[in-house]
Amino acid sequence: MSTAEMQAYLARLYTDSGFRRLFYRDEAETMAEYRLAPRERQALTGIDRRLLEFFAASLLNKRRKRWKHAYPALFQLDGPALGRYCARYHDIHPLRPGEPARDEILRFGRFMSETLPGADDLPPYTADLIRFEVMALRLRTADGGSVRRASGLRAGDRPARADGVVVEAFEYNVSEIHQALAAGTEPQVRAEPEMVIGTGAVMLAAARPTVWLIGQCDGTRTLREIVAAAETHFGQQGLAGTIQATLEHLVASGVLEAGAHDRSLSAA
Amino acid sequence: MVTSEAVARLPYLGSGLGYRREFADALLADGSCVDFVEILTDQFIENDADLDEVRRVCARFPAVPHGVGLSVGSATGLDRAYLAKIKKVSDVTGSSYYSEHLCMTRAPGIDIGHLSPLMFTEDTLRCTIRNVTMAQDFLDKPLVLENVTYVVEVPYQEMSQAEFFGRLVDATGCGVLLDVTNLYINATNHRFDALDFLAAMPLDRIVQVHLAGGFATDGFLVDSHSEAVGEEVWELFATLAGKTRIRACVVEHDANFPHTLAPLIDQVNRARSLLGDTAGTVADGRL
Repeated sequence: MSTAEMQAYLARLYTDSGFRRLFYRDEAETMAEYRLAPRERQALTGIDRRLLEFFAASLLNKRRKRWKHAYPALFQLDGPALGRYCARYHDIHPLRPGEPARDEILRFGRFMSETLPGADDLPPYTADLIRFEVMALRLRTADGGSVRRASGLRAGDRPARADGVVVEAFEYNVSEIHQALAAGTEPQVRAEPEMVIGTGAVMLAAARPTVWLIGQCDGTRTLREIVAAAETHFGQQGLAGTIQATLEHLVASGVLEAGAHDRSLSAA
Repeated sequence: MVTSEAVARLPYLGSGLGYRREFADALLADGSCVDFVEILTDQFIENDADLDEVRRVCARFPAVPHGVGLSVGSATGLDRAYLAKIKKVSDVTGSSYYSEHLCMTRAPGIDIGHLSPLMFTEDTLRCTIRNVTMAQDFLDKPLVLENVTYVVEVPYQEMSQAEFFGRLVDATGCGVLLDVTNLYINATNHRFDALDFLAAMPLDRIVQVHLAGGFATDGFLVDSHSEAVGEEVWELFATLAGKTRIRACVVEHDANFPHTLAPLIDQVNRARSLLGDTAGTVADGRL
């Protein structure tokens, strides 16, 4: 008798629906993979199958509750379609011993982010929605970094993106959709590209020009140089005030840091 | 090495409540409502901020750590990395014992995600004795092991669960956490007499009791920890308290929380009245 083999067999029987279906059709075939004593094989054939399914379902439900807590807007769309993908994930990706809960929940989010773009049995914005919620979860649960909040930017400052800032592109107005679903209301859906910037607990929907500006803030360009580049890029003059205000707002939000100051430049 | 004398010397703690973040503020604001708290170790093992929370709780109440991931019945042995994590929490609490479950939760490559019953065989007993001894040596305190609910029973057992418990405590010196609700649920779902089970258990090794409320679905009782403790469970607890000295009792509530702590404290108070005033040593309020 090998207790370890019996426990390995039972763990798989509890957590793998495909293995269970094969067990119901041909017990011997499933047992052939494990070194089981005759009494153990006999014991397995005597398992109450109704209770086995009840227990197996409870294991999936337990995981679903954690996923629902982490991705509440996604689970506002819960139904047979979402349930099917959850069950698929549960079979393909069992819980791993020793894996922190956050990691497992992110793993589920990644799976859904990869799966849902092909899901024509869910609203078309669902793939964006899960990516948005994964982004939010990563930001909420990441180790916090310090954010220096400047009261204002000077011409010689070299702003840079703060540590842990994430920028993601979406095909729908996902921040509004998320807000509506989280409130339990019907979302107004628009197929309009949206950029979302996230840092810590803050997520901001940003226009493409703002995202372009953030891209200029690499810690090497002074504010003055960024203004000049923007006026060239956008084909407009007189943008200094607008750009400074925008970047100061991003510093206050923790998206940017003021960066080193170039003392060779006089104040703006 | 832990011996049965260590369990015999464990202090009387009284009636406590399972610590949950959902009502932590209310609980920490009124320190007089419970004698101690039981913390779920696995909620506090991933980062230093969690340990700070344990310290704050322990500054307010005596605390006992209660884990769910040790899998003492696993034939492949204990997870040493997990042991190291829980030791940090256990040491911060300064408790005189660490409680867990008599079950398995994993096999190589698979975390079952739930407390699953053991097959009560000689080989499983050997593995469990080895694991419990190792855990007690590593944690440097006795383990107190809880009976779990089970849905599926593998129809091959070489001994009863009560005999398994008895031989385990004799071999390792560990104690028993008798979950009265779990006993009631198992007895109802699997049609055996709870009093017969109690009669066969090593009652003198029962250190602590759990009480909780569940619900019925599809003719099956579920240990959901979401309702008030039922009257049948109170009766069973009263019977047990009349048979042996119980050092500690915890009311557990994990979901469907009441709007205030009052209903939970009422249950803690009722449990305390059934415990009675048993002799024990609580020299400075620490465990």
